[in-house]
Amino acid sequence: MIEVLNPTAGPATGKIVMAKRTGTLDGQRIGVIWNGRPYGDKVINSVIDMLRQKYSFESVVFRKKPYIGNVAPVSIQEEIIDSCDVVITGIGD
Amino acid sequence: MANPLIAEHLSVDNLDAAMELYFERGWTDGLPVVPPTEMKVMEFLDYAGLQPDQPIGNVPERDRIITAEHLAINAVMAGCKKEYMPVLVASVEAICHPDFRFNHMATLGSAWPMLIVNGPMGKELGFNSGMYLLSAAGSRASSTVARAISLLFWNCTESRPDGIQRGQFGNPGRGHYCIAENEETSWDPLHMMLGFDREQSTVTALSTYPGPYQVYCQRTASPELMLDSMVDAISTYDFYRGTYLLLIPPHFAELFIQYGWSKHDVRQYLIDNCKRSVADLKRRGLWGLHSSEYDGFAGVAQEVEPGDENRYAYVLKPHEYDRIMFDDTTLMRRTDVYVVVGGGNAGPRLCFIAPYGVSTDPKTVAIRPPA
Repeated sequence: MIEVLNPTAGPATGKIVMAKRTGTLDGQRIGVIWNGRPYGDKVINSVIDMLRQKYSFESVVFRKKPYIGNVAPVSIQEEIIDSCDVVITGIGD
Repeated sequence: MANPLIAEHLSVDNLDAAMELYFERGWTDGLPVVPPTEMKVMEFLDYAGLQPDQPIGNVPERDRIITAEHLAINAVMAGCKKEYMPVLVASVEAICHPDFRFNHMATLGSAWPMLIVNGPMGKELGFNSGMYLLSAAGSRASSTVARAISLLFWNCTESRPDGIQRGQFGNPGRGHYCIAENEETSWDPLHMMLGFDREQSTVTALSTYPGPYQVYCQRTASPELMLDSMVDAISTYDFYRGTYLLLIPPHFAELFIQYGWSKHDVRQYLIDNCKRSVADLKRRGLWGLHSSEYDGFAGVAQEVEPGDENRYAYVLKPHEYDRIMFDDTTLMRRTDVYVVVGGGNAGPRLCFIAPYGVSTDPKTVAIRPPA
C-alpha cells in the first residue's frame, strides 16, 4: 500500500455566490461592462434598449474592459460598485 | 524542514495502481506520471527551502493560487529532479507575473509559454541548447521542466481541453518548449541584453503561438541575404504585433559575427524590413481587420488607391497605420525580437516562433538559489 497526493488546486477565495437581487429594474442605476469583443457593445446596447421599453432606469454607466481575458481593472470595479445597483455584463465572442 | 503537506492523500495498492489513478482522475496529460509520494514531494520542498503553502503564483482569472506544494507535486509527477525546483519556481513567477499574465489560456490560438533558461544554470542542469532544440532530445531538464509546467496548469487552473482550454490545434510546444541559450558565441546572451549579469541565471517566459517556423536562409553572401527569407516569412505570417523569438544556430551566429553584426543589428534589420504594402493588405482583406477604430468594412478585399503599392505597414515597429492595423490592447504591449542562439551546429535554416502578443509581454525572472 502506498500513499500518493492530489495535484489539483481549488478556488482560492472560496465559493462564489449570486449577487443580491434587486426585485425590479425600475429606478435602478445600471452598470454595463463590455468585454471588448467586436460588436459586443452593440449586443449589450440592444439589451439595454429592450429593457428600457419595460423599465425606467435612473442612469446607465457603460465601461469597456481593456482586455477580454482579464478581470475588469479595480478602477472600473470600484466605479461600478459605487455608482450602480445592477451590472450587466457578458462573456464570449 | 517543510511543514506537513496539505494536499489530499490517496491510498493505492502499488505503483501500477497509482499510475492508473492519475489517468482515471484526469490528472495527467495522457502520459504516465511518476506517482508523487509525500516523501518525494518533501524532498523537493526541502531542497528549495519552501513551505508547502507558500504562494508561488497567482492566477486571478482562474481564482487560483499556485503554492510550492502544488508545484512540487506536479514536478515529481513530470519526472523532474529536485535540483530543477529553483528553475520551476522562477518559471511560475514569470508566467504569473502581471507583465506576462497567463490570461489567455482559453484562446483559440493555442498560445503556450516558452521557457528560455539563461546563465550558468542552463548548462549546469543540462537544459538543451543544441541539436533537436524544440523537441524531445534526451534532456531530462528540458523535457521534465516543460512537462511540469504543463501539468501544473493542467491540474491547478484546468488548462486542458475538458477544462477551459479552447485551442483549435493545440500547441506542440506544450510540454516541450524549455530551452537554454547557447552562450558560447561572442554575442551577449538574452539575459544580458535584458540587463542581467552574465552569471545571474534567469528564466524568460514568452507566450507563443503553435509552430516553430524553420526558414531556409543559407544565402551567406551578406548578412542581409541571410535574413531576407526570415523577413519574408514573418511579414506574411499573421502580420501581428508582439515579441518574436528568432533562433539562430551557432554556426549562423558565427557568420553574422564575422560580418561584424551584433544581435542588435539582426534585430534591427527585422524590425526595419518586416512590412507589407498597404495595397497588399487591402487586397487580402487585412486592412483594418483588427483595428479598434477603423470604421470601414474590414475582412473583404478593399479597393487599392494610387500610392498604396508604395506605402507600408510594419509588423515590428510603430508606424502611421498602427491604429488601422492593430487593436488598442495589442498597441499597449511590447513589440520586439528576442534573438537567441540555439539549435544544431549545422544546417541551412533559422527559426522563428510567433508570439501571442494581444495581452501579454515576455517576462524574465532571476533564478534564486535554494534558501
